[in-house]
Amino acid sequence: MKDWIGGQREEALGVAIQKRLPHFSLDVNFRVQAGRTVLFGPSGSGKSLTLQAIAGLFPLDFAAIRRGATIWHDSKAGIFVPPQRRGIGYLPQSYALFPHLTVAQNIAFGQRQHGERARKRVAELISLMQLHGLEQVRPVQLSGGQQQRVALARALASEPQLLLLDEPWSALDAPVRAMLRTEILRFYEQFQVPLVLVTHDMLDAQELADTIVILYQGRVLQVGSPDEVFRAPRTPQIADLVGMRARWNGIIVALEQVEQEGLATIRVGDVALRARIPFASKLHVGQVMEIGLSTDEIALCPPGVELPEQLSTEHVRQTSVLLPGKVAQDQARGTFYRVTVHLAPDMSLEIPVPRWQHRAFQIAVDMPVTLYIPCEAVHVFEPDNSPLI
Amino acid sequence: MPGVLEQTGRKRTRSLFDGSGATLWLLSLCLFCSLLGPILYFLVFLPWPQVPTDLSDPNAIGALATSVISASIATFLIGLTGVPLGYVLARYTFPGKTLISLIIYLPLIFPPVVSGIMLLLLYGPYGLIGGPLANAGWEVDDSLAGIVLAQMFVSAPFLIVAARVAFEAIDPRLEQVGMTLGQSRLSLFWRVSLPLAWRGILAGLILTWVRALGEFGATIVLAYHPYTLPVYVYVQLSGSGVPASLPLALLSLGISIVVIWPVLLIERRSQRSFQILPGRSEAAENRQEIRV
Repeated sequence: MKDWIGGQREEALGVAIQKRLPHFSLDVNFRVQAGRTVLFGPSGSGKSLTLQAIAGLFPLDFAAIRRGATIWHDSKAGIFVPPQRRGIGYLPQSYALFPHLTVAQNIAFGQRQHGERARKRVAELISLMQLHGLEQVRPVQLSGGQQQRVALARALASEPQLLLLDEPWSALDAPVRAMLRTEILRFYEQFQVPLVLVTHDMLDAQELADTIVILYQGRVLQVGSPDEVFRAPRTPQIADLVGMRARWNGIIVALEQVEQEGLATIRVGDVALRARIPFASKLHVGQVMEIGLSTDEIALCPPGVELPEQLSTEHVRQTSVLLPGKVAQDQARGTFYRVTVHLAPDMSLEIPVPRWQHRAFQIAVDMPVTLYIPCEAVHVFEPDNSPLI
Repeated sequence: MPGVLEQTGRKRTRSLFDGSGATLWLLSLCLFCSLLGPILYFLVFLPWPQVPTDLSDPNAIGALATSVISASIATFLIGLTGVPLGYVLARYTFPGKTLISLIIYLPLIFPPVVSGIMLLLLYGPYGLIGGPLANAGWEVDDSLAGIVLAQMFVSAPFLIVAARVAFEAIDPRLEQVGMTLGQSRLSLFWRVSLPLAWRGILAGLILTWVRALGEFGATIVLAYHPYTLPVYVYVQLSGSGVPASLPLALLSLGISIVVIWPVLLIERRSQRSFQILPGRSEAAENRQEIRV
């Protein structure tokens, strides 16, 4: 078993579950600080099943689930706390409001108190969630935002220790999603209820998560902050899932120590790149490595433009490279331009360029340009990383 | 309108008699006429002046009362047990579920007489259950109890299937959310599942009642007496000929039409009400998007 069982951190959520299904097997194991956790993965990766398992709604072959010091499920010890007593708020897709009940009845659904106290509590929640005047309305008549607030109020009524959101917005348009996401963030700030959100939408993960758990085919591939997961995916497979598409193979031509970290010079074809490597001590010159590039860390400059002074320090010059190239393709993408820069035969990079910059630099096809590639843009995959954690 | 059609260059609606449409309409009409024909001709042929006297015959009233009472008891008992069965079939998976579903359909497929024979073997005077009961002085055959048993056997599938379909149409996430809100399964059955399924269940109950009321084949084998309405119609037919049975037939027809009407209304309304289930219908989702 993983070490989380020994861990006694108050606010942690530990999940280790196994389930064999006819065409799918789930074997998920992770431990996170309870905050804003996002289970991220493509459809069919088992993230919704994992969420249902945390809620106690999904039968498992093996399970060890714990929230803080409380054990919710331990199949070895024969402990199973039913969903009714886990203290969770569950918001499935489209919220599953009770369609035959009014807003007030929905919110009061889980109340154990009766009479005047229960009425007062519902009134309190209605005012907290800004649902005044909608008490007697049925869910069909509510907007998406109102539905979400009713669902949150309904969950809040039973004072949950953890909020579980299962792709609540997957049926909605992007602008609506953005608004509902903001409301969830505001809700989190206000009530500090830790939440676990399931999504396949990268934007959801980037905007909401303080910890991302990447799931794929029923397994956990990586657990980390958005920065770790999107800038330093553990394996090329994860890089695919988080959209890091520019990937090359290169040879280490130099390894040095700069300010307590490994700095490698990596040659890809005729081009040399710099990369910071935490595991540099395991590497040697001449080794072939796979690298991934975060293209939004790369600056595109017309020739002759000097880098700003802040970027001309000794340190920056040591850890970054300037590469000459030529614009091969220039595609308008609505809110930005996607500029394909040709660096060498069979080597090109697609760089997202803001519209103002595109206009200021008068970027056009066949124009010679310089790419500023800092070491932050270059991620080296650890060679012996197993595909699964 | 022709102008519009020319503009779009495409016909929007189909005329009743163009191409394959005509064939489909014609075939549909054939079947419909074969259904409507006998009923229509029956209504024309009926000796109307004689109807009130024939129907005020105490034997006819007694048969009607027997049918209504037995069908109501049978429907009540089926509802009491069949709604939970429909729920279990809709919500749980367990070994042998397919077999159970098959067995539930069998009474619909059997010739009713065959059902009657099976019931007679079990509940008859020499049957496994009927024998001891008869010795104790409770004869199942030729009693109201026998009629109720026969009616239950042949009409229960209507309710079980209707209840199962109605429960299956309910988003299971509603109950899951309810569980996380601290509610027990039983409480959720009462507060969520039943209120959302009641239309379908009501339609099933009505169909069950009508089927029980019209039950003849199994009843005549297990419980010839007391006469139910269908058995009495048959007795009149074989004893006094067609004319004597006609007013009773009219009674049957009348009851069926009056009772089936609400079922059609319920089905139309529940089609609409299912649209409000969140996450189920596109229409509801579109509404959400627009209203934000």
